[in-house]
Amino acid sequence: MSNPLLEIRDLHARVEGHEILKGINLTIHSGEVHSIMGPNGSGKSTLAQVLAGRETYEVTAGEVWMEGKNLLELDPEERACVGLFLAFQYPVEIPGVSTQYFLKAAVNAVRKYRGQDELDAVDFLERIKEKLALVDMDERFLNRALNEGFSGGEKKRNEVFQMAVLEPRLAVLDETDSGLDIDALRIVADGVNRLRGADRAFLVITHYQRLLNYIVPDFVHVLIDGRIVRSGGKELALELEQHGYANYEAGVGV
Amino acid sequence: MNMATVEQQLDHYQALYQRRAGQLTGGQQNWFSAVRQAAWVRFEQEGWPTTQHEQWRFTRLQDLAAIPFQLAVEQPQQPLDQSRLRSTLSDSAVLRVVVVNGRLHADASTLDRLPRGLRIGSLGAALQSSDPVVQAHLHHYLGRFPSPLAQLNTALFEDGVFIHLAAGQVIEQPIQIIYCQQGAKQPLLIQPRTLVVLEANSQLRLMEHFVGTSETVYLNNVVTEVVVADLAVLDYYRLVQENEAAYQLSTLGLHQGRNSTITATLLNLGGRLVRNDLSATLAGEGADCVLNGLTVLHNRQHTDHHLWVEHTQPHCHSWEYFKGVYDDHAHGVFAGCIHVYPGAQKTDAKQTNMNLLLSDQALVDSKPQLEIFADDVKCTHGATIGQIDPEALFYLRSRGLSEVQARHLLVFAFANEILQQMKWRAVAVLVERELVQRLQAPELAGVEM
Ligand SMILES: Nc1ncnc2c1ncn2[C@@H]1O[C@H](COP(=O)(O)OP(=O)(O)O)[C@@H](O)[C@H]1O
Ligand SMILES: [Mg+2]
Repeated sequence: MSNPLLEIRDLHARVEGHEILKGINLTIHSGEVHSIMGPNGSGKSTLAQVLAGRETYEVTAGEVWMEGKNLLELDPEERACVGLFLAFQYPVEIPGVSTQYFLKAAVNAVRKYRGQDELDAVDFLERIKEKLALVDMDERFLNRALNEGFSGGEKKRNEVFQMAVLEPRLAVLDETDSGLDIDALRIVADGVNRLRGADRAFLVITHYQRLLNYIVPDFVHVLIDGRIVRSGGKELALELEQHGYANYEAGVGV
Repeated sequence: MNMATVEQQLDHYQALYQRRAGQLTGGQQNWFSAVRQAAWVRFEQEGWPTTQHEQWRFTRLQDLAAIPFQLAVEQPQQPLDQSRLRSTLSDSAVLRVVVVNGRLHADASTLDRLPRGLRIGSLGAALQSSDPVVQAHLHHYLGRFPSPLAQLNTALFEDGVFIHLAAGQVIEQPIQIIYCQQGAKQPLLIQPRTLVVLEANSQLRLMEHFVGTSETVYLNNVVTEVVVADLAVLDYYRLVQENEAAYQLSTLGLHQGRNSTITATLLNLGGRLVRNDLSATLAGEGADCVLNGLTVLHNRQHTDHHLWVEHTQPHCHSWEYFKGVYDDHAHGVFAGCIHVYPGAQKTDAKQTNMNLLLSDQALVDSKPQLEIFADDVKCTHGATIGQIDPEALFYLRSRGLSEVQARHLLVFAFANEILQQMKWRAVAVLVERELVQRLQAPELAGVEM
């Protein structure tokens, strides 16, 4: 098999003195879709934020490699440039910055890192129009301030839109399904499915199995109390749907 | 401070006054001379404000008061080097009025073909000729508690700008008044005085632009009075860019008639020290007053905004929204009072002061205040002081923006809320350009958000 795109080895992390991640091991290859499922508070967002480089979380042990780079040594912006994308569980509202300006700055930062020319406003607009259609949004949306006053569904669609524009190698979706009605869920899932491909991988974090009816994963991992306690194929999600996490949680600490 | 120095400082100004009093514009027998004398007496009595005064607690003038300023009007007028005016608006239709060392500079101004109903000229000349509009309005709008500095201006000013717009006139061309300095070898005391009168139902757009064109220390002791009569509409801008060794002490008095509207945007990039005493009197039913402010300081700059908004009549609306960004050792002061008179029912007033600190040494003192003597009103105030939101910073960085770039963008975004509301876009573009420089953020050039 080819070299992994992402390799997490025995990752431990803590916040405010509490250990949240207690030894995560996970290997993702290009083209794969992995799902992490787990109850509230099990550490899903912590894992996502640690991968993206949030400083609030202190990594106390372990390694993360992405395409031959030691991810934990990179700044958040360098991780983005290497091809990591995090769709936030709670996207931040930033009044005073238009979505268009922000995305253009982001795209050009990544292009610069890769030694490509910066795009001017016209080229940029050309390239993002089709991506807007992907998440069923119109152009007016580009002139709105970033996430300001957006509904929950709009925020999540904006995350998927940004992902489509930035074309990451690895996209981590942190509960992109939560708070979405069924129509919005379909739009978001369709957007993701159309971005699936041989040279891209996804880590889909979710609390419910529902999303996985639309984004069918290759692998499912169960995260309980900071550890992956079981891994399997997509059928594992259905099993969780029927029996919940109780079986696993009972085993914690044994 | 001890009394000896206070007196020495007054001695210096007494000498200036005695030398000048005989030759003041308007002469000694003019209707205005009694006003000047009374103002002088008030200044002598009150002296320079000290931090013992509640209104001056956070702003020390002691150093300033000790500088032996010379009166700028005694400097000979020279041709103006216009390249020093960092003030070009992309708006070609602007009527430009240039005031140098406190005197109207006719050659540098474009006043030859004014629209019908609009008079723009030297306030000194209008005073000299006892213009009835000037007689009716000058020195009536200094606020309920004029500062000693406003008294000093009244006692000794020589010139400035007089703008009069006749009833019912709507002027499309905006006016830009540029206040600048020249030819100073010693510290100058510059005292421009401006009076703007909009008669009923008229409309105007006006900017007062203070530009530091000399590198030396000067004191710009400014008074501007603005009267907006019934149903008239004023879109007002002030941009302060004094040089970083300079002091500006200013009084801006706004007076509004029935159903009139003032939208004022106060943009301040500071000097060494800038103090602005702004008073707005909503003196007619249904008046609407919007005061938006943006201050962006660095180094050791100090700015103090004292706002006094008084509602004397019912059904008026006032809105104050002041933002500040402070870097390095900069110090910002915001003190705002909304005063509602008995009988001013249905007053709707809101005051907000938001501050962003970019360094651990930067400091803000914010003091909102309500004085309400009517029972059926809606008045609120609020103030915040904070740093850049780390979550927002992380969000931007996670998309590839460098930390520096993300910081710049967030600071700009904070400021941009004020710029976005400005109707005169050419001014917004100018300020945006200055902000890009001030923030040392060339990547933001032409940001247009
Ligand atoms: N910034 C933080 N400060 C304090 N505790 C935190 C912080 N972030 C997460 N936690 C704690 O870490 C645990 C895991 O949280 P999180 O990773 O958000 O879980 P999940 O996303 O699986 O719901 C929870 O107990 C939560 O309270
Ligand atoms: Mg979570």
